[in-house]
Amino acid sequence: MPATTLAATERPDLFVVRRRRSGVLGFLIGNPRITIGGGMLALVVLMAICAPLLATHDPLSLAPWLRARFPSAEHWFGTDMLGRDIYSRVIYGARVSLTVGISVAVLTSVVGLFIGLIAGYLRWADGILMRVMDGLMAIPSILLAVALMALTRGSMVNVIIAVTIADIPRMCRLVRGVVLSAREQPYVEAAVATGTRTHVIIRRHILPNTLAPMIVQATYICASAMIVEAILSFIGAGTPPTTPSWGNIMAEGRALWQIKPFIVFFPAVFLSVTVLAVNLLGDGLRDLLDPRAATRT
Amino acid sequence: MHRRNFLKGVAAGSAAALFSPRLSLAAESRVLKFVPSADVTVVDPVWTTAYVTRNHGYMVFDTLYGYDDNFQIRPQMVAGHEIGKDGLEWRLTLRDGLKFHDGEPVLARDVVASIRRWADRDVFGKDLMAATDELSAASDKVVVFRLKRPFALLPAALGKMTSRMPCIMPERLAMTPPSEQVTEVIGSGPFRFVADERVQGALTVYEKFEDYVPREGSAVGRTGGPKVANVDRVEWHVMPDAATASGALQAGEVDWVESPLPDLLPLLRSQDGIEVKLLDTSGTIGSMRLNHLHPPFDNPAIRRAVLSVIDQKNFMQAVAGEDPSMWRAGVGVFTPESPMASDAGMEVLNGPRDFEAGKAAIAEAGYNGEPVVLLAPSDYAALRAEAEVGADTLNRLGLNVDYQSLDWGTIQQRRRSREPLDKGGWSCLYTGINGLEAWDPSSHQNSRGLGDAGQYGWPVSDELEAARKAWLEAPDLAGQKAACERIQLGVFDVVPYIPLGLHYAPAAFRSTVSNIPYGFAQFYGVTKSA
Amino acid sequence: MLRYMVRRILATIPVMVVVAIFVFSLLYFAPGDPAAIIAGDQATAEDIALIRESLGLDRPFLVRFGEWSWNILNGDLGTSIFTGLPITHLIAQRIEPTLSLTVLTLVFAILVAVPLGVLAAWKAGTWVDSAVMIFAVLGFSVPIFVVGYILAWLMALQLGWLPVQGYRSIGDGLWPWFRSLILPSISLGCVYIALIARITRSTVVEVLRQDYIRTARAKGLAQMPTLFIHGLRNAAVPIVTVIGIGFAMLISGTVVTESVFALPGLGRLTIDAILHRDYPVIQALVLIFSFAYVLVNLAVDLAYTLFDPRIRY
Repeated sequence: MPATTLAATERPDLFVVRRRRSGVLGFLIGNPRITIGGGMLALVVLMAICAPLLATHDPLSLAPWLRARFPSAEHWFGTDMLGRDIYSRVIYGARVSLTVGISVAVLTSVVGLFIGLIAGYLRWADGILMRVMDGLMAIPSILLAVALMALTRGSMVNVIIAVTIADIPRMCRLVRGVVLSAREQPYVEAAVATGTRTHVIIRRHILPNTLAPMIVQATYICASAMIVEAILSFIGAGTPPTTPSWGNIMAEGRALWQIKPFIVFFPAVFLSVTVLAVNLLGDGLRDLLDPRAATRT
Repeated sequence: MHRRNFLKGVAAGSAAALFSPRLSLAAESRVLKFVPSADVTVVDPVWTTAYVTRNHGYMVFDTLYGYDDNFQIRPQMVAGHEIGKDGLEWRLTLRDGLKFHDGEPVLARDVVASIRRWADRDVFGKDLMAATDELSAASDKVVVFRLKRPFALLPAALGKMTSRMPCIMPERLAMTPPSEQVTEVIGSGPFRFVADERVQGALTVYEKFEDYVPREGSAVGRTGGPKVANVDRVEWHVMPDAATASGALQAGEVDWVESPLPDLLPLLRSQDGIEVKLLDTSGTIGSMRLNHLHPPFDNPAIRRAVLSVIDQKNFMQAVAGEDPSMWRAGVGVFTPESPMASDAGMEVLNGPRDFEAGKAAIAEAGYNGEPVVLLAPSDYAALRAEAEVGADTLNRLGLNVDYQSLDWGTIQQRRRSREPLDKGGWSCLYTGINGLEAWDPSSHQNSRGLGDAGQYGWPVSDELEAARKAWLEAPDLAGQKAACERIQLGVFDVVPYIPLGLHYAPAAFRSTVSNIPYGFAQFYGVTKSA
Repeated sequence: MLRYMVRRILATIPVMVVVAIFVFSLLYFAPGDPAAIIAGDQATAEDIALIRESLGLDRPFLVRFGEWSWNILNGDLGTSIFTGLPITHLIAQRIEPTLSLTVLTLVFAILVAVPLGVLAAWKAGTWVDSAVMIFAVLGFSVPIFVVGYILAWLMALQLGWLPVQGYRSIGDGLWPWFRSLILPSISLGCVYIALIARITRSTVVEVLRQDYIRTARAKGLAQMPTLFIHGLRNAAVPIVTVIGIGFAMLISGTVVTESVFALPGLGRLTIDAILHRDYPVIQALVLIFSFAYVLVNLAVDLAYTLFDPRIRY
């Protein structure tokens, strides 16, 4: 799923009069999307960190004689096909979704920035790099992930690599676009004319410009990576069942959807809320950092 | 193919898809829609041992002999046979009216070529050929086997229901080397393969072969005949998602689902208009294969320690659910209903499961914490469940388990690797043995001791091979039973694999469908009312 | 214009070469052996070796790659290892369901998303705006297969309005064809609705800032209908852009949707081919997907000139 350059949430200032606020509280009230999104995300992160305290059972311990039980006082979210406690698996599953989402976002940002800078700055490298990027972009990430699983084995690292490879071209294009437009700016041209060194220009003038759209883009990539992780589990190329993730809980329970909907329901709710939180945070950051973004598609 | 042909191909294919007339609209009750558990990717039953291809084979091809509901061998394409020269000469006479789907009559030379091709690859076929001096066509109707030594199981081999199917095809096709697929599907069975309508991975279509002449007499079940086609058309619709297949049955979009998910059976049973019935009464035996080449499972004491803590009940509940009628624990080497099954040595599986004793045995055997690479298929539900319970069991025994989640295609290759663990090798993996394969030693690959020449795992055991030979040569049932007790004791001693229990996969079908034969999915005599 | 198109199409050649080399190498080095899968569970090592040899799978990398490339250049995509059927035939059989599904999904998504986006922009800053946008974000926060199961359960099993699964060819009639695709295209469309609604909203918000609209609005002239037309005209370019970059996602989505609804399309063919290691089929499909991707993006660029006369090539 592409984390596309999405809409800004700015409002036409004609009708809305904003009161200036100050302080942390003021910032939070003034940016409800950041507050709500960030708050929800913080809760999920806290849940992932405190998983051993919150879980009521060992998420890996099997009990085939207790399989697919409805939620009860003992098993709050019921049990899965092998009698494992779904509540505990969901709590631990937060770790996988967050790790995948955040790793993919960070990796694509770093690699995308590096390649994008080179492509934007070195004319001769641009053509080759962008053709390779186009090629990578044309291969659906799901196919890539299945092939990678075949190459080694199903693991969280593979999911991260597959999704990262598929998302790098998008980040790279974004950075390259910003670099190209920044190069045209009078102050950059002036810096070049006065013989400022390339790495200085990049550090002083180019990087600050790319940071804002990159952060925003990274949040969307993070959100989409979590969804892709779940879809990969669906087709059997996700994390192995020994690593509980929301995706593989749903994938295992999906066949029982008609009679035991809770197996899919609980992880789906957690996944949706987390993705929603990351998306809201992204929207809020866009508001804050990049008010002109809506015109750039 | 050149560019222009490419375009032509695309255009023709699309046009066919767009404008092909659908028979189904006209006569709904003459069309049976079936959901197989896998696609018939390979159409040549000699090229592959895949069960779905065997099932497809029994639609299109016919066999010389068949089995009835009591697992008695019966003549099918042959009118009868005469045994002469003290059991060293078999004369098989073909019955009248046999015809291939291309209109040609079935002749003895077609049979000879087909049997040769099959026997070149099939395990039981190789046993038969090893005992055969000469196989020839004495006339258009008579096939002669001249044997080196008596082979009482000859009809059983030529009518075997397990893979590979001893199918009879025209001589011109049977001359294809067995390592190449015969892609033109011409058999002499009651249904004809409709190649034009096949969509690889999604749809296989069969039509009634009007010129098929069934045997006379009343139905004896399974492949024994008479093979009567009561519907005009059978469509096999492949559904990759088990929940979707059940949904389609509930909504009446299909007539018959070969093996719905065990957990959905109560739901399907409760629906009006749907019946759930156990057709394949021989079930499937779970099997944990151990690699005898590398530590720790190169040590028989460690293998026996693992055997001593295996709880078949746990494995079967994980695979087939809590309903105890859907599985059996306490299953040895042979299918429980088979005459070859026995209690010999079963106390190692049925006694109390003592993990402390198991740990002690492993320590005593000198286990040094070597990793156990466990290959688990991510896309094969029953085997994945067994792998997960297996990993849990080995962990509790204190073994250092490396659980590797792979797709089934990769496992099928990796399991052939004899390399050490750090070079792509493996320690244990899970497969299913069809109850018919475990019926007797003829096709029972798991209990062989051939070492390098045998299947993955490469167990070496002269005793197991000697016991199998004793079974092949046993003059009567008592002798066969005694040989099978030896095999079972040998398996528990050498531990080439560990049986994990037997689970059943009932079929579900609309109440409008009746007279489905027992056994694997067969369509002889099946009727559908409006 | 024509020159531009020719140049763009020529520029796709290196992209296709990159894809071809990448995919061929990935498959070559991935474990998994079609011969082992063909031979099946009961086969011996000798059986498998014989099949490998007869399929030519034991030849070195460069020989196989060279042969494959040469055949492709001659317009021959090869045959499936498993069925021996020509790949052009396999693709021709499967192209109709996938094309139908993707086109219907896009039409459906645009029909739902654009009015939603305009509405949100019109009511920007109110609870309506927030509700629409949260709905849109939810659309891509729920995995496709979950949406698919819920829809199939409700609309097909409980209410009995639509089929649970399966595809009816357009040759069987327009209505049966359309019916068989309603649930799949809604499930697949959710993600697109989210994307397009958001992009529409932001574009229309921009439009609302234009002086002439402000004036018209202040006079009470600009009502929902005019705004809708303005919005649509201005949102066309970004929407088309979303379709372009979302194409790879759409292909991934069809893999899942076609599995859930048992549609015999290209997505399922791809997954089957990967799981079976049917190399020629995988290679041909990935090439075709990449080519389609490149073409779609070319069409997107050309569409810009249609929707925005200021853009010229």
